[in-house]
Amino acid sequence: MTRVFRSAWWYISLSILAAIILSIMPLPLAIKSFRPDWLALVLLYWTIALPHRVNIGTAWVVGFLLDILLGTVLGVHALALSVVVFVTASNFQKLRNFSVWQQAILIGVFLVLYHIIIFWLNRFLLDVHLSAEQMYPVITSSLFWLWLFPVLRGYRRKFRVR
Amino acid sequence: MNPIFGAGPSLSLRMLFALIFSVIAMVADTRTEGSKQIRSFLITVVSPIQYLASLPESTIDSFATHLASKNSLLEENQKLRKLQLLQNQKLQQYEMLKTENDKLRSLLKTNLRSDSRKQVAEIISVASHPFAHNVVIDKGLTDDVFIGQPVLDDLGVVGQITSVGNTTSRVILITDQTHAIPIRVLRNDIRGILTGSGNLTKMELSNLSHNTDVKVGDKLITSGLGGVFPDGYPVAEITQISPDVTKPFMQVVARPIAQVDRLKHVLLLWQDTNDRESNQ
Repeated sequence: MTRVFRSAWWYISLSILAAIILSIMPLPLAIKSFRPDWLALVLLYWTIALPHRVNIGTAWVVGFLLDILLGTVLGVHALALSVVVFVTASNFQKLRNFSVWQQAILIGVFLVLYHIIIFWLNRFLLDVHLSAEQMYPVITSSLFWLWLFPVLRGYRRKFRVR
Repeated sequence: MNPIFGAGPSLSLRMLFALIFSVIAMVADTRTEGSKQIRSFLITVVSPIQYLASLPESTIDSFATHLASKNSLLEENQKLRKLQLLQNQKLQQYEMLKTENDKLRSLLKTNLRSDSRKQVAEIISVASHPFAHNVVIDKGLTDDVFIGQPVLDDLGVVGQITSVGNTTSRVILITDQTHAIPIRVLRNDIRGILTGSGNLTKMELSNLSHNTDVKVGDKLITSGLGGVFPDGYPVAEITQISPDVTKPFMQVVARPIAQVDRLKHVLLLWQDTNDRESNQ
């Protein structure tokens, strides 16, 4: 039993690490502002699939790590991810029964919330301005969900992550 | 079937804890001085992830150099030779001008400008967040990097160091929305403050009255005021001036001269200690 428990965490952490690397990897300027929110997508997947393993605590810790890596004010991404995961975890049973397309739309709505929270906090703390560019990742993230959901489901089934 | 949320606190309670911890982190990070040490520690802890993330790009780069054809290498070599010739010729003049300048400065009894120590650093990670324009470089405390150190590339000013880890440190770019740099116009020495806009190709020259003599194409260089950046390094070029008299100040947009959007290597600058003392 302990081995199963440990291995589940191992596989979840591995996917989260991959998401972190994808979100800080250097990209060409032309496509940089379209980078999907990999970390948010992966966290949301695990929250929908295994809410007893991944929820607000994980989201906060991982968000804090992202804050360190991105050089943003500590706690900003942590709070934004926690809120989004909170909303998802409260509705995980409904979300499971939706089709991938419906999920993608809802994930888009959640990510708008995610980016708005990040903007509000930064506006309050650092007095930054809003630009349309900040919402581009929502579109790409929603599209990538259609691909990421089956991939992560295959990953979870293959390694029997429970 | 696992009992869902069977153990542990309820979802709302967890959310409350996350909120409290976030607020503590944000306040501590923006309102206290101790956050510098904490950041320095954290940036050291996460540096392996940063190196890992830069791995794919550096592997592709090394592959590309291996695959480069002999012809293109020869061509590049020739181009570089020509460039070196031109630059050497300029350097000869520079030597002469520098001695002349030193002589004149000693006649005027002002401080001599001394050469500063420089070191090349490699960029290992780029944060592309619109609210945080910064890059991580592969030099840290072990290389004497310090907070507030000026960072340049071969064309102009890139930014300054904001936090230092053991082997990595973070550079805030001049285009970050929270960064401002004191500058003067090369043509007529008008002083101003150039702030970042959150866009990599745009910076704003704030608080200039409408009758100020600036033109499109004017070069902006560091003024040496503020004590962070040494005097006389190129920063930006004015690209657009909108004469909207209904606004209290002139709207001046400039484009950074350093290629902040395609950085690969940067220069770290150490001002000479006796130079710094004489400035005080």
